[in-house]
Amino acid sequence: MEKLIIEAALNELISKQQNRNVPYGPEEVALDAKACVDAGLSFLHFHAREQTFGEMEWNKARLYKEGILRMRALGVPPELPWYPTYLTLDPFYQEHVVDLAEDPEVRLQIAAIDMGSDNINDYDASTKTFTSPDQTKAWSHDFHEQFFRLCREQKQRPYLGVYEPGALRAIAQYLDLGWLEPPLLMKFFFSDAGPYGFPPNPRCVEMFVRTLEIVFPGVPYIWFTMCYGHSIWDLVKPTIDLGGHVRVGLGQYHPWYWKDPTGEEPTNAEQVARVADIARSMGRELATPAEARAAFGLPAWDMPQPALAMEAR
Amino acid sequence: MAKKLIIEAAIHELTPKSNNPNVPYGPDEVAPDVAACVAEGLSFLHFHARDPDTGEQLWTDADSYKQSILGMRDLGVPAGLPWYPTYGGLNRQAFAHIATLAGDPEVGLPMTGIDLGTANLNDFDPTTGKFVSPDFVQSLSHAGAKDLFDLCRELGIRPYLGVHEPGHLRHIGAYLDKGWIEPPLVIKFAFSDIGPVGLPPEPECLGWYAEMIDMVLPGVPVEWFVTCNGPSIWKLAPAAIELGGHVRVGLGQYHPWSWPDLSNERPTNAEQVARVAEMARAAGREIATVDEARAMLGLAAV
Repeated sequence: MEKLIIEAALNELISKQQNRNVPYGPEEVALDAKACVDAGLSFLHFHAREQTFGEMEWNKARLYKEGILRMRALGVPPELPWYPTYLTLDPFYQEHVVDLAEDPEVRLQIAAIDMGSDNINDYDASTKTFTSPDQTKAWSHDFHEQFFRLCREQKQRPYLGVYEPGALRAIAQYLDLGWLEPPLLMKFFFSDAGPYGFPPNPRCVEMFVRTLEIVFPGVPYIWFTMCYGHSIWDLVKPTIDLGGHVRVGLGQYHPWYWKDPTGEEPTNAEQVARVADIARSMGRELATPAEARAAFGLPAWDMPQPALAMEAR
Repeated sequence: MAKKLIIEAAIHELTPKSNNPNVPYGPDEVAPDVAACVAEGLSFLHFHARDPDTGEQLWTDADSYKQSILGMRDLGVPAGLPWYPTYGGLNRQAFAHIATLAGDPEVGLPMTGIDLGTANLNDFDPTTGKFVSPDFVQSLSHAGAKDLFDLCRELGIRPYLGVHEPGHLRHIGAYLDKGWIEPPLVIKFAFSDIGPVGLPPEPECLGWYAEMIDMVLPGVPVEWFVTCNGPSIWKLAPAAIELGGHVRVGLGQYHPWSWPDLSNERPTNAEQVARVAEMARAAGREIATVDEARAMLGLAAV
């Protein structure tokens, strides 16, 4: 079986009030990413955030770059695949991606996109409240066609976020239309916090995998499982068992809009180590960052050593 | 003993006669078509108001619906036959005809369909290699759904919940938790051969929906139907019969809406209903009468 790639979403929209271990600014992100890589991380996602209050700095290329260069200086391999928050058709969200892709020191190569349309909305069962009941996420086929064109122009490999299995059928159609190329890189979303997608349990991981087999016969693909909430720990074993990869991280572990009633405050590195332990116990080896790159179909990294890069700056 | 099977038909939707001359258009065609379907075992009906000559959609023309309903009753269709029209959109204004038909004592409309959630419901035309409406997104927010559920309560009609993706079943779980809807829930699982949306139209995937009902709505009384745009309905119908679900057929979902059907199949609605009835008999499942269907759908007797 392919080696296991462990991804972490370090921070997303989580505040330190929820978990004091959530990294905010570049320095904290770099230290945290280094600890994660030491524990087995080979794929990284983080948001640019302001250091003091953790305010979201969605499109500040400078903060992403600083995080990346600092983690390399700490010994994180420069080939570590990573991605910032969204690229979308909105110019606001293109700015940082274009800058980071064109910056020879950074050379961003992965653009995440959540596929299709859905009512992505959290529901607090304790108060019986939807967080934004008016909100829908409406990204049409046209939107995706333009998005994938943009990815080709920017030489970004799309990381396809799949909330509903219908998105897999749309992806198959896009592939057929030449909007996408294999290997497909996909992420299955589960959620304890919002009532959408497959229910977050092991049986539904099997359903996703079976859908892949039905929809993509003969197509090379790589898939990750992620979950908003603690049910991720129910999904890790079936994912490893079925040949998938795992995304963890504090950014998706706690609710974004209400207090985590468990009071759990893990670190990102602890979560990565926990996945690594499960993988070892199941006899699945861990991929290195370079192996993860190759699996994603990205070109081998040929940049100077990180220390040199820092000096050159 | 196994639950009795409700057979529904969507007799025309947007299908043109150019794809099947047996598609009924106006009230004079709808009424005899429905009478023939009921004779074969139909106990739940869906149709659109359409222009008798051109077949053009008259989406919200209450009078056209009423003529069809009164016409089919004249032909012996039981007045209790549960049915529902289409809507002009997913908001109160586009439900104006539904209010009229529910409030008309001669008609007594009992139900309305509501397709839940937000999804890229879009057919892909293989003859042109294009999506039919690539910038269209079907969208019903949670707040929008609540407003329509409120309207159903005001009008004394029951919602028939259209599910295109597993997540929509989880929406239903939250709506039930909120008290926006009440059991028995009536749910339609939509599959498609012609649009890349939802679970693949395979019997095992229908089985997953049945499993997910137990995960998401444990202990909740549910009556569910399977529907499919395209001929895979014939793979899915036996699975639904086996799993305790109900079946929706009909020419409205059998042929493509926007391009020529290259198959030579030109069935009638009544033939499709009869085919499901035969499958049910072979599987040892009895066919529900109109009155039995009403009770199962949570509707008062007429």
